[in-house]
This record gives sequence, C-alpha cells and structure tokens, in this order.
Amino acid sequence: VIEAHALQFHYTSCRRGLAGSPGWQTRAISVGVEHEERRELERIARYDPPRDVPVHLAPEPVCDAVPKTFRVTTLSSGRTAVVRMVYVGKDYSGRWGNFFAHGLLFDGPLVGRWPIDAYAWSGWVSRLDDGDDEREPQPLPPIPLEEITENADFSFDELRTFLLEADGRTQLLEQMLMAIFRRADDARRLVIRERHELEAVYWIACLQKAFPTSCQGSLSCSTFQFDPRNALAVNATMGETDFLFDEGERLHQFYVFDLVTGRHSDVPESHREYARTVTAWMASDPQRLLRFHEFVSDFGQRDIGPELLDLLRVYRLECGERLALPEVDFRSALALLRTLSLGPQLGRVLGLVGGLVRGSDASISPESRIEALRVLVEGAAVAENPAHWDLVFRLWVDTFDHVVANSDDAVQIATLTRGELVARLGDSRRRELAAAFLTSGHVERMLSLMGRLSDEGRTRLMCEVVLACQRVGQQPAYEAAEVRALIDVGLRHEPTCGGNLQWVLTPFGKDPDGVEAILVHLLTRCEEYALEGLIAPDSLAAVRRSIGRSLSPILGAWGDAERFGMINRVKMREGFDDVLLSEWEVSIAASSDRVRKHLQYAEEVLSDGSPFAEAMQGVMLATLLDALPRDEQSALAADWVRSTRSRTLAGEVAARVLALASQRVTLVPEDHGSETLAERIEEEVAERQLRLKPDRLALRRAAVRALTAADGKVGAPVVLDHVDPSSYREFVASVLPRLLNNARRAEEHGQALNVVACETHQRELADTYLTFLSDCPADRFGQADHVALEYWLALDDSNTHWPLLGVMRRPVLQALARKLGEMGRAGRAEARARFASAPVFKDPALRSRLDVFLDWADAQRPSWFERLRRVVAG
Amino acid sequence: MLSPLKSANRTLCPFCFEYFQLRETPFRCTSPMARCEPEPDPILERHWGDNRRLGKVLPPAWRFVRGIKCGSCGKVSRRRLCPHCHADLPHTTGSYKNVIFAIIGAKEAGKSHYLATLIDQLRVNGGALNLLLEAMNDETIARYRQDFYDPVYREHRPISATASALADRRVQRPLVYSLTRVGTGLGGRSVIRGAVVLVFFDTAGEDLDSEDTLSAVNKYIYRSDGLVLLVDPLQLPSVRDQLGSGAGLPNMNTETSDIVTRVTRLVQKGRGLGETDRIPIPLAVAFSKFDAVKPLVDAQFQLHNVARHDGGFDRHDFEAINSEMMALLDEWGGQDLVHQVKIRYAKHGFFGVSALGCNPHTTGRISHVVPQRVEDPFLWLLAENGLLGRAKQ
Repeated sequence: VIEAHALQFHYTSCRRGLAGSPGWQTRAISVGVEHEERRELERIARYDPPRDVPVHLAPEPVCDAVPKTFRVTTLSSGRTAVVRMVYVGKDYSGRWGNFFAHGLLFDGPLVGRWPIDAYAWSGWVSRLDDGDDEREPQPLPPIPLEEITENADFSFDELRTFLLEADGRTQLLEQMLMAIFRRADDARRLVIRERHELEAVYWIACLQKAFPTSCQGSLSCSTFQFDPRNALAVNATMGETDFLFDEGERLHQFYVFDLVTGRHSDVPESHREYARTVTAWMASDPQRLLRFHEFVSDFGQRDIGPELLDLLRVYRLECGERLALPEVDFRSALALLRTLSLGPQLGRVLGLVGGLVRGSDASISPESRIEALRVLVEGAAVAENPAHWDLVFRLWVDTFDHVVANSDDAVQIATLTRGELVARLGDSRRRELAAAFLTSGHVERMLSLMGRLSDEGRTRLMCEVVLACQRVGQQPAYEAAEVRALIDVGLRHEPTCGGNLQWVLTPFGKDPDGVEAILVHLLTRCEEYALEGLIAPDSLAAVRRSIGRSLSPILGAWGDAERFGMINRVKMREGFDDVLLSEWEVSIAASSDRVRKHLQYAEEVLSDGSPFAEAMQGVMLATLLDALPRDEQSALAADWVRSTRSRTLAGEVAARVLALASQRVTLVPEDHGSETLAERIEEEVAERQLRLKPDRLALRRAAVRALTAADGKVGAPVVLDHVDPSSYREFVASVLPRLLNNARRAEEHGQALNVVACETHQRELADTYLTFLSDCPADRFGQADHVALEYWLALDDSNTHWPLLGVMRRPVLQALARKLGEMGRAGRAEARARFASAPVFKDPALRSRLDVFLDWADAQRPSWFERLRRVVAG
Repeated sequence: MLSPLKSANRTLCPFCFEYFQLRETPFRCTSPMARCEPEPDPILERHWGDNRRLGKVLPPAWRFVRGIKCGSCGKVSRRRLCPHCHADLPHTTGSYKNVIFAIIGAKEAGKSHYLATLIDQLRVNGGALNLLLEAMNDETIARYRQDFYDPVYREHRPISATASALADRRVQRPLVYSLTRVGTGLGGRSVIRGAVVLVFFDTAGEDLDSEDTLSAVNKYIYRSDGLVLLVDPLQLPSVRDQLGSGAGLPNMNTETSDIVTRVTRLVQKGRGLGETDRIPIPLAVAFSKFDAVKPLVDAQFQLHNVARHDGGFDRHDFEAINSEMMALLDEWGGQDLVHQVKIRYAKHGFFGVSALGCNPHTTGRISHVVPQRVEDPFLWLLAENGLLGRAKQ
C-alpha cells in the first residue's frame, strides 16, 4: 500500500467473483487487502433497503430512490474503511435484493481529510455493467487520496449554510455532539431519523467535521442504517427499518434524534463546552474551527473524550482568550499537555503550557501552577531552547508572585520548584533566572505586593530577592537598593513592628554582617518613624523589643559562639538594650534549662562589666526568676548566695534572692550545708540591713535549740507565733517526733509537747502529733504509746497549755484505744499486763480512767467478720 | 416439570450449538428499561454482532434455578441465556428436546421459499396431523413474517436472495418453533401427547460452496436431527434439455453432489465418524420446483397426487414417491447423486416438492401460491426421529 492511496473492494451478488461460484461475494479487490480485512468488509457491506420502498416493482427509478449507504468504520487491523452501498435491484439470477458495495481502505485515519469528503467522489462504482461479471475478476487499482477528495462537498461553508437554513439545527447539533461524548460512558449510539437522504448526509458531515480528522477513527458513521443491532457510533436512517423509535430505543438504547416526529432523546450534560463552542464556530466562524482541527491533528489526538475538550481550551488560550478554568479543568488540561510534551511537539506544548498558566483564572491553586511550571522545566531541559528557558523564567517569576501572594502553604513547594529549576541550570542560566527576578518591572510588582503579603510570604520574597542579588553579583546583598526598598515598604506598612520581623532578618541566614546591618537599618528607620510621628515616642522601646523577638530565632539557629559574638558586637551600640533583652527573653523562654542557659549568657555577655552588663544583669536575673518554677527559683537564689554573686545585685533584686535562698535552709541541726547557707544569708541580710519574712533563719535557730538544749526544758519559742502554718508544720514535724521518741516518762512527753505547743497553730500540732502516733508500730503497744497513754490519762486542766491540749485529749485517747483494740490477742495481753504492773495506774482515779479507756479499746475491736474480711483481703 | 437431576444433563444451544448445563446459564433482566437501565452485552456482540443495550445479564446461580432476581431492580427474570453466546434460550430449554432441521441446497434451489411454505402449511394443516406449530419467540415471528411470509403470501414476489452468513450474522439465527403433538384421550377430549422444539435453519447457497465457509457458519448441520437437501431439477442438464430455454431456466449453479460431499465431510468430522461410517442423520433429498418438471413425469406416477397424511405420516405414499423419484433421477442423469446418498446416509428418502406451484423466474411475480407436497420431507424426518406415527389407512 502506498501511503495516501486507497485500496478498493467490490461486493455484490454476481456470477463470478473471488468465491469461485455465483452468489454473494467479493467481486474484486485490490492487492494488499488482507483476508481478515476482506471478511470484515463483507460484514460491513451489508445492505437492506427500507421496507416501505417498493423496491421490487419498477427497477431503475425505484432503485434511485432507495437511500445509499455511506459507511465509515475502522477495521480491526486499524485501517479505515469507507464503504458506499447502492441498491441495484435484481442480481444476475433475476432475484431481488441485490446491492453493490464499493469500499475504500485507507491506512489509518485520513490525514487532513474527513471521510465524508469522499462522499462526492466521482469514482464510486454503483453497479456492475451487464456482462461484467461473466469475466474473471481483476485486481482493483489503488486510488490516490487526492483524487478521492478533490471534489469534496460538505465544505465548512456549506455546513454553515445547512445549520442556519432551518431553526434549531445548531441546538440539535450541540445535543448530538454531547451524545457522541456520552457514548464512552453509556454505550448509547446516536441515531438520526431523517426524511431525506441528503439531509442525513449533511448531519453526518456536520458531526464528522465537528471533530478533528485525527479523531475520525473513533467516529464510525452510517448515512443509512437498517439494523439497530449493529449500529455504528453515528447512524442516520429513514423509512421503515428494524429501528422501532419506541421509548426503549429513545430513552435507553440510543440517543435518538427523530427529525420526522420531532421526538428526541434527552442527552445528559456532557462536554457541553466543546459542543457549544464547536457548533458556534461551525455556524459562524468555520475557518476558526478548521484551524482548531489542524491544531488538534498536529498532536495526533485520536480519542473523542475529555482530552479533546482540554485541547479546545488550550487552543482558545493560545488564541488569546482568557478562560476562567476551574481547578479541575486546569489540572486536566495540564495532565494532557504533560503527556503531549513527551511527543515530538515538545516546543509547541511548552508554549501551550505557558498560555495555559497565563490565561487561566487567578483562582487556580498555587500547587497547580507549580505543577505547570514543573512540566515547563522538564520540557525546557529536554528541548534546550533559550526561548523556552526565557518562558520558564517568566513563568517562574509569575508563579512565584502568585504563590507568595496567595498561599502560605505552597511556599515550600514553590521553593522546591525553584530548587528543581536551578538544579537543571548552568551558572549563566542561573544568573538569567536571577536577572528575570530583579527586572525593574518585577521589583515594582514586588513592592506593590509587600503590603499584602503574610509574614511567610514576605520572608520568601526577601529570601528570593537576596538570593537573586547574590546571583547577579550585587554584593553585599543587604546593601542592595532592592532589598532596602522592600524592607522600607514592609516597615512603612507596619511601622510599629507589631508582627514578626523575621522576614527582614531571615534572608541573611548566618551572615553576621548582614544581620547587623539590617538591625541597624531597622533601628534607624524606627527612630526616623518616631520623629515622623509614625511611632509614638513611648512605643519605641516596644518596637525595639519586637525586633529583638524576631532576632531571637535567627540567632537561636546559630551556634553559641556565633550568637554571643553577634550579641557582643551590637551590645555596645545605642538602642540595642531592648533588642537584646527581648532576644534573651525569647531564648530563655524557649530553653528547657533556663538557669544554665542564663548562666552561659551571663558568662559570655554579662561578665565584662560593660554598661550593657551593668544594666542588664539584675533585670535579666529578676526576669529569669519570674520565669522559673518556685523550687528552681530558690535553688538559683541559693546558688547565687553561695557563689557570692548575690552581693553584686542591686537592693530589691538582692532582697528577693536572699529571701528565696533562705527557703533552701532546712531545720535539721545536722544539715551543715544549710548552716553555711544560713550564715551567708544572715551576713548579707545584716549588711544590707534587710529583714526576711518569713524568717527561716530564726526558725532554724529555734529548732536547733529545742533539739540540742541539754536540759530539754525550753519553752515554745516566741518566733512560732509569727510563722506561717506551713513553716510551723515543718518545724513541728522536724522537732516533735525526735523529742517524743526520747521521752521515757509522762512528764518528758509533756515537756516535748510544751516545747512546740502554739495556740496559733492548734490544728497543725494535733495533726503532727496524731501522725506521730500512727507512725508507731501497729502490732504492739510500745514505749511511746505507753508514755503517751499515761500522759493523756493524767492530763487535766491544770496543765499550762490546757485549752490547747484539752482539745487534743479525746482524739488522742481514741486513737490509742483504736490501736489497742485492733491489735492481736498477744499484743493486747502484753499491753494489759504492762498496764497492770505500772505503778501509775495504782492510783484509783487513773485506774478508773484506764478502765474506761480499755472499754473503748474493746469497743474498737473489729467483728469476726471484719477480721475474716481483712485476712481474705490480705 | 423439569427435575434438578435432568438439569444436570448437557443441553445444546440451538443458536451457537455449544453444550451447556442449566445450572450455568445466566439470565437476562426482563424489567422495562425505564425500571432497570439496560447495558451492553459484550458476549452477545461478539457472537451475534448485536451491540444494543439490552437487559442486564444476571450471573448464573451455579445450581438449578428457574429464575434469578436482578440485583438492580429486584425483579425475578426467567429469561435464560446460553452461557456461551448469550442468545435467549427457549423457555422450554431442558424440558423439551431440541429437534434441529437444516435446509440445505445449492444457490437458487428454493430453500427460502420452501421454508416459507413449509411453515405455513404446518400451521394451516397441522390439525389434520394432530400437530400444533407455534413460534417460540418474537424474533422468529418477526423474521418469518418479514423475510418469508410477507414476500410470498402478501406481496406475491420471490424472496430476495439470502445473504451469506459470513456477511450477515442474522442469517445464522434459526427460526424456533414448538411442535406439540395432540391426540384424543378417553371421552374424546384433546390431550397433549408431547412436544419438541423445532429449529429451522435456512442456509445461503453460497455458504455451502466451500468447506471452510461451511464449517465456519454451518456447524449446526452436523448437530442436526434431519437434513432437507433441496435439489433444483432445472439444474440437471437432461431436464434443461428436455424443457428447452422457454421454460425460464435459472442459471447453472453448484453441483448438488458437491454440496452433499461437503456436508458429508462436515458431518463426519463434526461427529467423529470414520470414512466407512454411514451418516446417521436422516437425509431427505427433495426436488424443488417440481411443478416445472411435471410435464416430464409419467402421468401415472404417485407424484401427481396429493399426499394424505391423515393423522400421521403416510409411509406407503412415501415409499411410492421415493421409488418414483429415484427412477426419475436415473432417467435425468442423477444416478451419481442417488448412489452417493445411498452409500453415505443410513436413512434417506427422495421427494418431489413445489413450494410455490408456479415459476416466478421470468415474471418476477408469484401469481398464486399452491404448495405441493412440501410437508412430505419434513414429516418423514419427524417419523424417522420417532416424533410422528403412521397415518390412518
């Protein structure tokens, strides 16, 4: 087969043909048609005349009135078959029903032509001449494609006339086109019922030419179809056939456009945009439609589906239309272009991607734009055409602006894309990219953007500008006019710096010179704004502190040496105290070990006696203490006292440190560390003429005295009346148990209580005492219990602390009785024996009190059930 | 009533001639399309070229069931499909035996006209034979009416040439009828004595002209229970010579003996028979267009008489006709055909029939339809298959 030639095929009922015997058979065929293709063609070349045409009555005129069939389909081999069938009446044997099929076979889709263009070919054979079939069949010659389509009817102008000559045809065509798109989803084929053969052919022509030539392979057509069982994608029909045109066919089996009765199927919405646009072009601007078809064919698009709609949109964008493409359509078109970019039309596709991005609606997400940019970058890397790179650079700049202006989330992606882009560029192209970013037009755009950007957006923008300045050789970048201009615009937009100023500092990364220069610039500008009245004079400190808060994360990302180096560089500068204090606050607040962090800071920054150190030491310590938990506050304060650093502190801070340090002083006489700390605190308090409140040092002295006095006969220290309940409880808990454990007689027990008794803290005393009793061994009534029992049974209102102890007497005796009652048999017997032998209980009055006590104890004995329960409970 | 045991037996699809078991048959949803959306059936399209959206195919239950509920619309469907080709099976599938008759013959032998009048005669005169013939599906009703009955009986014109099954798959679809045998019970009441499904195949002459085509589209032939071989006597040179050119002679076509040879070979291959095995399928060799050759037939011959199959098959009449036809063939130079049939086919009979009773060849019109003895070959085949008793003497 020679390309652009068509092979031929003749089929009819005849005497001689390829079958070797008379009858239905392929009469003749071109060399090159395969056997299977011939079989398939024979099936396609099936013709039945309409039943209502009296084809058996008068041969010639009637035969001319019977509709011809012009059928187009694609064979399994991929070749396109165009078959024309003409009813011829009788066959060689005189029997009715004969027809002649003349087929043309093309290699694949017709390039640049529509199958309907062959309809008017003058070379169609309609019948065998008399006696022809008595000769042996000869191979049919191939026909040049040009010859077949040279007299093409159904030009676009004719189709426009056809569409406009009757009302409603454009709307019908639109519906038909949607129906064709629907077939991929619901397998319903299109059936057009017409009165006249030529009208039907026009409809087929309109439908074919609504799609590019490259898509005709999926648009099989028949201008007259008799049998609904083997309907093609598009079928015209007329007269009485096997089609029923009932509801089943109209609503469910086919998309029927019955132009005889006017009853058409409802076509669900599908690719209406394509149908409407193409119909409109066909009816008003056929040349544009033709150009679109050429555009599509250039890309070899073969399927009638969503891709065609994507191509239509891309084409319209290429033509300069602005389309408000929804996100999903944008991505769909982009996916198609990405696929096409793998083909031979790469350069053109890249231009289309550019058009897609530029012509699309602003609502397209940054992710989608970046995806488009990726397609461009990948394509440009393959194409290696400077013009493509220029396009990429322009789009990158546009996309960057769009992304930065519209989505914080996409900034990372944008950066990533730039990374991908840069990775594919050589040094010179990188400079070009940077230059494209720093064009005066783009700088203007960036300046206008600044006021609308989020902090993240500004940061990204500044980073890119700094990077671009570095790439184009504007060193140092922090002195670049573009950089300063952007900073000034951003600052003017928010002169009080209420927000985050990292966007100004981040771009300079670890460049101390850059950071310092920018900080100086910021402070200078703030002062100018204060002079201009943009900042209230009393807000200047707050503004500086705001700068410091922004500085902290920058320095925090540096190593300690670099950070402290930077701080030491700027601490001498005027106006930096608030900045650095704020920086310090943020760094301390973010630290898990704030004390260590500050000590390191103090060591590196505050130990040089500089004015900054002088001014900040106390302020920072106080701030630090505020930031610490209470326990850590006292530990830090004790540390400072022990290390004598507290002596360098100013009065108020020093008093607070000493008070906090005193909280670390214990009441245990044997704790020598506390003793030393207490002495240091006492000295410093004395020197500074301070008064601690609460005075734990006095409390410690009282405790030591109570526990170490040789005679043990000390009274309750006066200091106890003035301590807080917590301190008193600590005092009693430290002193009382040790005194009671040492008591061997009731009198000594009473003396111990007298030492700690304090009317002010009655409850704390009772609680501590009862806790002491409960801490004694539960299984035996020991020495301390006996002494306590003797003391409390004998206690009466003659005691010095009667009102206080009187209140405690009954709960204490009940506690003792409960303990005795719950003891085991042996323990009780032992205790009773001891009571019996104790001289003190010889006294009848006490004996009587003991008996009452023992009755209480018996009453406290648990029932056998309770004892069993306890055994079971373990 | 069909028993589950029976359902385990293999059944033959009268459309694609593949065997299957009832438990593996899918069903087709029969709900109105408005209730249950139709869908394409790729299997039906592959076998029959029918790409319409039809009722949903409901998968088989893999056990014997009389119907399956559609998962989409919930309606129980009893329309059983062949699992191989998805053709709608007769509702009696599995209950009644399928009896397949193929009508074969050279091109222009008159096969379609024979089938048109045979079916009409069986419908009209079935009562005398205690037979009731009814179409089994709409497709059969429509196709018989459009392709056979209307042209002959209403439009009085010859039937158009049958398309090759290679080109038109519709030709491969048979006409399916039920044939019910009735009788008289005690008290004189009519009773049904049994029924079979009759499957008629009309064949395009072209499709018998090559062995490849024959085996590709006519494999039903070796599955059939009876063959009617129509022979056009006007193709016999002796007859043509005796009648002369004024008799409206048709073109010379394929030799009938060639067709018999091909059919014989097809059956042998299809049934796995050896070269020396005789074909067990009854073969009725029927000379069509007999009205045209009547002038050449002895006036004393039984062939001139009307057959009287009263209540059954008239075997005496058959034997007379059979003898007469063989004698005529011997006279007309058709000894080779007789010899071939006698050697290859265990059961055979020779008949003379006229579907139309007239010759439309020259005028293109059927002036009157007077079928003659068209039912003879068919009744003989029924009798040979044990489906029809002897006629009353």
